[in-house]
Amino acid sequence: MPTEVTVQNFYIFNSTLSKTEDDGAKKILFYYPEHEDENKKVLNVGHIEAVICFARNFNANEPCESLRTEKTLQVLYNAEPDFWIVITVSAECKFKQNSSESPDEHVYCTYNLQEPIYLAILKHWYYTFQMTVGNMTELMNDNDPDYLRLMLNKFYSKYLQSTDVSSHTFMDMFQGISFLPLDNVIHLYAQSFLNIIENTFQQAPVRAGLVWRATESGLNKHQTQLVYSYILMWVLPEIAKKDHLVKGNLVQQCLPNQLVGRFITNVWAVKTDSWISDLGKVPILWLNDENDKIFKSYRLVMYKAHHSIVCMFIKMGNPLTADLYNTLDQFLGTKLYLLSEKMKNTIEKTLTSKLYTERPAKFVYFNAMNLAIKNSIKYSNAISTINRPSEFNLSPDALRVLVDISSQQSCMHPTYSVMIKTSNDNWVAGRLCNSREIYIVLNQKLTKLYDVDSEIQSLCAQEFGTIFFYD
Amino acid sequence: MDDHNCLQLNEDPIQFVPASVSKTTNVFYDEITGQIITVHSGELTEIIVTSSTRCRENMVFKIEDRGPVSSIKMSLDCKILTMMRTALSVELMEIKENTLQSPYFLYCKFKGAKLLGFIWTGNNEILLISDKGVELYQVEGHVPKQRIIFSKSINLHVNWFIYSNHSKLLLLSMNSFGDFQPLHILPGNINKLTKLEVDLDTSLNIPNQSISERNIVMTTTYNILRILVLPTSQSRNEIIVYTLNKMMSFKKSHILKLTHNGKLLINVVDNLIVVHYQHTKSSSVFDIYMEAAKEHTISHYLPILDDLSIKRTIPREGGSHYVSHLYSSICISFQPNIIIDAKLGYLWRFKLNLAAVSRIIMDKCSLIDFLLLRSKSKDTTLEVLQNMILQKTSNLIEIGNVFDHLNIVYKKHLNNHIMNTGPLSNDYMIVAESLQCKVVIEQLDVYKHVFVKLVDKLENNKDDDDDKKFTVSILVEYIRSLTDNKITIEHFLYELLINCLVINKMYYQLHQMVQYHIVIDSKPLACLLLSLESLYSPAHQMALDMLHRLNTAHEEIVEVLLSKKQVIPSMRYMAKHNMLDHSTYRKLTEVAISTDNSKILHSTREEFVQRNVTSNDELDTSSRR
Repeated sequence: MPTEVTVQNFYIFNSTLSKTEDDGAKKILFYYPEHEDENKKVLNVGHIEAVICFARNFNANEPCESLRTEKTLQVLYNAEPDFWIVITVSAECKFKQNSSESPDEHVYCTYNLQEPIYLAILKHWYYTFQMTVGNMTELMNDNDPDYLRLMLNKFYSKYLQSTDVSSHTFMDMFQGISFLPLDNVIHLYAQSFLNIIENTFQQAPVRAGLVWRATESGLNKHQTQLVYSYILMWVLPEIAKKDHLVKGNLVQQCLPNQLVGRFITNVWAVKTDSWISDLGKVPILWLNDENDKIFKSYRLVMYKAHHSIVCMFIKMGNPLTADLYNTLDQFLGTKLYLLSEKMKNTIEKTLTSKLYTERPAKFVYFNAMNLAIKNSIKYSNAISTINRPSEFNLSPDALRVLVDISSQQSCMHPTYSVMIKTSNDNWVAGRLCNSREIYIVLNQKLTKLYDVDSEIQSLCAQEFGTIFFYD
Repeated sequence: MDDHNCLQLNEDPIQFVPASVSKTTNVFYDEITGQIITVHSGELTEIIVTSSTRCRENMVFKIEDRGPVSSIKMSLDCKILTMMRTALSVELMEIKENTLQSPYFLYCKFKGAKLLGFIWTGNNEILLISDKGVELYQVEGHVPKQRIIFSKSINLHVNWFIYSNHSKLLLLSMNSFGDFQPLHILPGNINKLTKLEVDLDTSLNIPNQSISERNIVMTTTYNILRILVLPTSQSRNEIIVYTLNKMMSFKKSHILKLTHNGKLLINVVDNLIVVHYQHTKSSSVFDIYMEAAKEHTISHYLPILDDLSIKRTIPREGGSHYVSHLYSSICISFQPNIIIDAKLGYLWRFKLNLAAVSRIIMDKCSLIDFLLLRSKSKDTTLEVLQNMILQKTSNLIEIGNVFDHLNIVYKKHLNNHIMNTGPLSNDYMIVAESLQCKVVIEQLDVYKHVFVKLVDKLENNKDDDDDKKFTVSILVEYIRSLTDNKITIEHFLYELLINCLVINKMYYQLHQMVQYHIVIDSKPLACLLLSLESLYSPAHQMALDMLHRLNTAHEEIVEVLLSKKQVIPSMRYMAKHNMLDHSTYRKLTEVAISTDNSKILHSTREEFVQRNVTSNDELDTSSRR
């Protein structure tokens, strides 16, 4: 039965900001919907605060993560000490109008809402906020709570507006990176290209990464993950739009040599920086080193040629000058174009050589170790358009079972295997081995467990022959 | 000795009695035997034979004067002194116990022919060249029973001739318009080769320009005979190179663009063509195996080294020095690398100072190409590489290009090696023939002389992050270049790469490299990865994948799983690969007991009971523990 998921509210608060009962509103740092009654806001926050306190009695080490009521599910995320991010979602079942019931009566199906999905969203948003704006505690201490409120407002209003929380399903939990099926030679070309950029422009960019629907990067894995999702969300749609624009904008006038590639500017970000006022702004991101926790701010300069984007992270201390842009452009243009073309050719070659036998099974593969994600959507589609995972076409029921399996698996190291028969006689299976997870939906009416198992085995053998996975 | 000069003369020149002693003294140099023969004419003609290779003591002979000597040579075995005084005959004198026997004469067969010269083409074979043709004779026996046997003659008009002993090729000038008849001299026979027409490109279209002996140099570079045609006063200021091809005919192949006019001397050093300009007192160096612009399939070369000057100071008695003018008209060059100052009585050999060259050629790729073509240049090449990388005098792009240049040669060398050990294949034959490089820089060389030092340097100053990154970049670049040339990468490079990535804490990059199979799977590397688990947890997964791909490492996989106390997964794995037997039972049980998990222990036992692998006694003993 179809379920309609709505976000009731979303708020961030810090209890330490309010000392007395009268200034309860002070502890709220962000609240959605904005025009909610002030008292209601305070009431809601207070309610959750009470729940947190109550739950602490049972386990002081692990904070409360969710609260289920008949109508809503509230998911809590304790991002930083004293900072809580809370989302409240409700789910309504849409029956065909039954004559016996009055049309106004709502039937809730909160049981269809699953905590892991929303917790994953909250975490991802938080980390993206950390990357694009900074650490909440520091922002508040360095400035004042109002400044933090402003920043949070900028960020979350944009994200709440542009993401459809209700459409998030099992597929969104991983925030994985799909790696390109490149051969070693091309990968070496890419690595060498990035090294050369870093080496040639030593005074400026510290790190460079390359995006061609997937990354080869000089960043660590969490940074890659965040930057990747940021680019997927904000940069790629912009490019699609801009490609249709008439040429001759300001950027091109100032940088007349941009023949092969071009810089991508004016991408949305909370904090941006411009090098010459009119020529477009570049986002500022906070990245930390792998070994220390200190965040440093970088300007993200993106350059696109052919189908590839190079992301260069330039330390804030180094000024962006028209000169730098020009040399970068001259340096990158043809090289990136040629590399990208080579990449495209090899990918097309590997795809044509790989004969895809149509299987009635669908799978999602995720490797927590390098955040690689892979699924049975055909690659050719994945290249031509940015696929939303929702096009995966699984029934909501199956997706929910998958979420359940995955949350089970996370506490069942090192190996785990489960096969579940759904109400419509299909099979949903999950396997965990060697830090890798695979989820399979078989649209087959199989009766024997043995058949299901052998079907899964043959799928694994076909797709994952080169890794140690469930022998 | 000045180390800054690219071209140097040897320290110990051969000294001989110079022509400046008296007006009646003449000096002859024989290219074939490498002997300098000084002739003092007088009432008693004195002949001094000096060997330029120092293989023999000077020989001194005295003979009665019978007129001026126009040519004098020793036979190849140095047993017969041959001289020419008239245009009619050659005089042969056997040497017995350092004295000359009485002469016998060899006359030209052609009627009315004027003798131009003679050549010892073999130990007992002598070739007479006259204006009416060439005649080959064999000299047998000893005085007084000597016999001269006629072998072969060819009748044709000859202006002058040049002979190359290396390829036994005689070039006859037939007229002054540039028509030549090459002859291949074989033992007892003469082969006529295709005629050579030298067409000097005369823009002025002057009909009677003549090509004289001075305009033609025959020399061997890169083991192939070449004819260099020097410019005449009317032609373009360039040297045209004709190359002898496999069909034994000469084809115009290269053009060397000269930078100065005037009289030239030509030498060849280490397959380089050295042009000395007497006018400007400078020298240019050409290498016809380097890349050059082509025009109608003929490569046009500019000098790779230009405006070099060679100076040589000769210590004189009393401590003063005399600067020899190598570019003066007194000096004469002989092939390949000999310069003779007949006035002072010195014979020098040229040599190339690679260290100086490597400082002069600024473009590193050209320099590497140049060095690889030289013999004995390996040390210099490695020095250049060290300098580029350790002293950071080059950027990454240049280093990458240099690696490419090195590895193209390396790949050819490897193919060549395959050809020598494996069955012959036609493709490899072509590669082997085109392989002219004398020096190959292999992976071990680069590893030993560059990377090890680079890593040492890193360990000495640990704080420099840029340096560390640079090391990784260079390694990746080298591996990229090797992969590009389809060369199998040796294990020690991978090990170094992984270690460098670990030093830099670039674990995610390491992960990607393993994932994209840049690092080729092997058991030692899998073990290395396993040891990195404490630093980077996914290394465990990578190692397992690698062992899995090897398909021969079942036992290792089980060990790895058991080390993580993954009893059930390893049992499953062993079952699949038929490894469950008595010998593994105890090990599995022990690990199962150590997990303190009764479920696992039970499953382990059940598995073995069902397989009937173990006896009940053993079960009992272990359960009592």
